[in-house]
Amino acid sequence: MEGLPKYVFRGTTEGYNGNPSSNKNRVTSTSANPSKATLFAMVAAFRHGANGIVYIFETRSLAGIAINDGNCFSSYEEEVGFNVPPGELQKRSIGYIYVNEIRVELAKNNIIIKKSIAPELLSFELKEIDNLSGEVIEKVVDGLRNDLK
Amino acid sequence: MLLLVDNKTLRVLGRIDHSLLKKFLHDDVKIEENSDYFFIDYSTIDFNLSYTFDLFSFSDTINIGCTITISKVYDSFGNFLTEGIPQGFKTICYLTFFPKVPQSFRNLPILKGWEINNYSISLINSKDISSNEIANILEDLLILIYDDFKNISSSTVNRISKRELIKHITDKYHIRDSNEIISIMTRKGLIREDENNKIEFFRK
Repeated sequence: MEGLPKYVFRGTTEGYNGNPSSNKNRVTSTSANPSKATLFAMVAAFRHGANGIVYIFETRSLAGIAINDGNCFSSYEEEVGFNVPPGELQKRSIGYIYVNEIRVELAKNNIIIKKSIAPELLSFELKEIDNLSGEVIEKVVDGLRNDLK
Repeated sequence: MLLLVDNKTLRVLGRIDHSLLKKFLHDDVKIEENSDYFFIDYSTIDFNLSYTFDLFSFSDTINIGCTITISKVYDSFGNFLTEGIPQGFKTICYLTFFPKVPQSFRNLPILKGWEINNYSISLINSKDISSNEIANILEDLLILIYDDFKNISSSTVNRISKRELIKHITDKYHIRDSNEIISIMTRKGLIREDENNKIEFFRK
């Protein structure tokens, strides 16, 4: 998919198919940054008391799904939106990984994610996270491939 | 003053350039005198449309005397959210103020997106604050009022007329029901009214 990063990530909780609003409006947010998706997974896990997970998508396998270009404003999450409900998008992932596993893999690449964060401080935490190069993201994904669910 | 109600507050980050808003909403934007569009930070809980806040916190002070209602909600892609603000969403909200938009909201920076900044304002509903926290707010309010009178009064600093107190609270803190504030303060033992309608302050 032209103009998109090679991978996008979605932080959520295991077995969750998205918020009713996302399903109704048929739009799913992802992040181009696995660290930031990890923070979303941690916050979701905190709220719902479930396992936090991060879905990994190869954007080439999302061909045919329209990208939502409606957001003309900036945000810290490096958001990429797709015009499809979360459950449908998740089926197109290459798999998901638990938060503790992706934290370990990120740490191997010198990206340290805190063990827990307060949901109300999400923006502050996202702001502190550096953008990652495509090379580093590729390395993180490669390191996780054998553990994907 | 710190409030431990962060999980029930809504953080207003800043204002929106109205020309960008038109592009975002694909529609003409009508803004009423007592309303405006704002960038709202990730919400920690669901807030229904029409949910109303009666306090806002700015620069570590609690402001009262203005209600703020969530009138319209849009997700980051410009979809109108009929259910209100979903938990976990960053949104653009059209907020309606009564009686008018406070100056601190008009002074919010115009942002290009959901950016953390030093001027953000937290919206709070007094129902979501525990009684201890209400007591703290009232106590802080009393300190403010007491300090006000210490500055303007020479000899009777601990005793003022009730009428004078009501006028002061109404004029300076924009509290419509000053009598209610006075009766809460009385119940909390922070002030006492004597038979001559004089108010005695217990805090030194």
